Amino acid sequence: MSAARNPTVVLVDDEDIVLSSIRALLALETPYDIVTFTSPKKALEYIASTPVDLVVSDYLMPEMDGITFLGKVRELKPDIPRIILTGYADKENAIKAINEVGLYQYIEKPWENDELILILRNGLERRQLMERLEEKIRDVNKAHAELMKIQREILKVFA
Amino acid sequence: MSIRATAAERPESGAHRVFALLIPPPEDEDPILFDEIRRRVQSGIWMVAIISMVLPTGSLLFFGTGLFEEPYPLLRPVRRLIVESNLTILAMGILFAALSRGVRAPNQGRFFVAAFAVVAAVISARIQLSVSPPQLMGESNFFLLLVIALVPYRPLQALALALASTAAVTVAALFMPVAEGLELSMEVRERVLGQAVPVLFVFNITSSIVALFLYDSRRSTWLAQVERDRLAKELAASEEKFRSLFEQSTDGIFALDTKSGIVLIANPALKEILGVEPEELVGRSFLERLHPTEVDAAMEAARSYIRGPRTAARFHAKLRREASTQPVICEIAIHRPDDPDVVSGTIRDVTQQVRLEEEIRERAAQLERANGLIQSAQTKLVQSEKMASLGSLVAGVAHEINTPLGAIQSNADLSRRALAQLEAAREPIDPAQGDAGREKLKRLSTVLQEANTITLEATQRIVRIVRELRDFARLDQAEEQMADLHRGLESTLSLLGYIFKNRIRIEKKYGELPEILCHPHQLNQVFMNLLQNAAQAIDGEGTITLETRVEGRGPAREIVIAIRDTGQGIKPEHLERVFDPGFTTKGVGVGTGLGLSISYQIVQDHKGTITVESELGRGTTFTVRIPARAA
Repeated sequence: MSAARNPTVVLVDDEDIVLSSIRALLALETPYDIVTFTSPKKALEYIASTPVDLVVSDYLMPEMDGITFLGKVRELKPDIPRIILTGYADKENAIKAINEVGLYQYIEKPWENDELILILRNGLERRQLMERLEEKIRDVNKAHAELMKIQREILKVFA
Repeated sequence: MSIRATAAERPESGAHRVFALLIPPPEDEDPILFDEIRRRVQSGIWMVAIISMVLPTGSLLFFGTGLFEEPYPLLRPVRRLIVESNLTILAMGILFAALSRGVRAPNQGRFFVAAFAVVAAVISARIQLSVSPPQLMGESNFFLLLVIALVPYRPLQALALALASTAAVTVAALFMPVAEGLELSMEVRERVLGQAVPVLFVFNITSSIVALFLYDSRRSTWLAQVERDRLAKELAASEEKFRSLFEQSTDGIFALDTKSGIVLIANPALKEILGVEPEELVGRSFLERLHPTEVDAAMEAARSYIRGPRTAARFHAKLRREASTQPVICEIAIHRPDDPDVVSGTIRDVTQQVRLEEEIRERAAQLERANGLIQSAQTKLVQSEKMASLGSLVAGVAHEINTPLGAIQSNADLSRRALAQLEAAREPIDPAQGDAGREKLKRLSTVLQEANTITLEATQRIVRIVRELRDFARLDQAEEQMADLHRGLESTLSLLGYIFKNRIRIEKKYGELPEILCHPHQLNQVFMNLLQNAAQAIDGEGTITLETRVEGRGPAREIVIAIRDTGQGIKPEHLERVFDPGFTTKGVGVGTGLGLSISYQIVQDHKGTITVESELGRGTTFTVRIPARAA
């Protein structure tokens, strides 16, 4: 994630008023870019083609259920934190699925705005940290590779 | 009895009495009397026959052997004649003896015997004439007397006989030839006749008068005899009847002496009932036969019965059975209470019946109790089904409300935040930052507007859900009313929305439905049950199709609602049990199995029908038909 770019959050829910509410909130209180979809399929297309930092999805949707959608997201981009919005009735199923699909968090509906913002921030922070970690690992690997190259040169000289 | 009546009617005046004596009532009026008389005539003839055989035989011996010579030397010339005559009479006697059995009617017999008497008189007259000097008395009367004495002749018949006899003798005396070798002049004949005939005549007439009285008295005797025989027969028959009843009756028959309570009569049936021979019972007090528990009550009842007015009574009592401690419950009926010295009645063993009755009463009570339990259990089950159905309804509603509620909450909070920022932004706006500040204000104002709009929208949604809920339950109206069933289907679908949401497609094929008179909240329960079942039948993804139409016309018009699912289908062997209360294939703990049976009941109450068709693996269709009644 480049430091210049604002984090991009993708929201998927079949209910438009949910999308509007969350978008308005995040627009007011956070610097994130919000992209909303009522269709999981369209969301997948977008995620496949565009850099995205976080995905939030509803559980019960006509096209496909949230767990399946987020599973597909994981296949596409395993590094992106995935969060599910569940109603009271689906909580148990959601919790079971969390382990199967490897979700970061679940948010219960109706949600507390503060809690929502917090979870999103933590998720994005984690994403950042992971990215930095990976960058660092890349750097280390690169340094390690260079060291190995130098070592070989040296050995070559002595051998 | 005509003869008896005739006898009772017999008048007392002298002239009538004489007439009645001369002309007695005919003999053939009463067949029994006729037969009696016939028999008497028969036996009379028999006796005449016997005598007609014995006397000539004796006479033949006397005259044949010459024994007569000494006492009756004068009879020597007529010996041959006497022998011939005796043989004749003997022959006649034998003939009568043979014929006597064949007498069919009294008069028949009387005639032949009369003829015999006349012939005998003539024969004897001939003998008399042949004796020297000739006589005409004595034996010529003998046979007439004999016959009249032994054979009952009616008065006029006897008179005729007497006259005939006299006439015959007279003629014989005048013209009959005497014994061989003898000669009798007319002069002598006339002289003899002149002496004899008057006497003969008087004698014979007297005989016939005697016969008249004889007949009369004999007749009375016969009548009495016949009557006695008849009464005796009747008595014997009725005695026999009573005896067989007494012996063979399955009910016990008894009679007690009132004062001492001693058994006077007991029939064999009592042996079956009490285990004691009738002979043992007679002569002992009835108290011995009472069951120990009954004695005091019986004594009291007996005392009041004897003291009080005697009525026929029927009651139960416990009697003692020989060689058993169990009482025999008997139904005792007392009859003919008018006899002060004797109490009689019947006893019937009703132990079985009484026991059965008790058992039946107990069973009935048990059944009632069981019934009560079943009913209360049933009520509880229906209640729990209602609660379960209500539970899923509530879950659905909660889920539906959740979303708009979340939106409202979020937006209310959003408004707060925006307002907070707005508050902060109301600090003097730096003209230098003019545009940026105005931009911020604009942005905040937009946010607030949007939040408000969303809140309103969400509120509307909740209002709609509550209305649908109210529609579904129709809590405010429980009576029969006109309703559009489409509305009921829609509100039910909406309330169940969450279970269809992501896997089941709803297809609606609605026709034109008129409003009908019904209990809408009850029908909504049916729709909910069918839709829930349809959703549960579909494993994974599928479609539920709702078809509505009107069929028939006039009074046969009905609304048809078909709910089809593409689920697993119902097995053929389960199909007919699907509406049975408690039948469920959903497994233990899921539902009470009462949903369809309650739906069935509701549809029935609406005078409609609910049917099911199913194909394993393809799907199931439930079809509800309700008569389209208008208010």
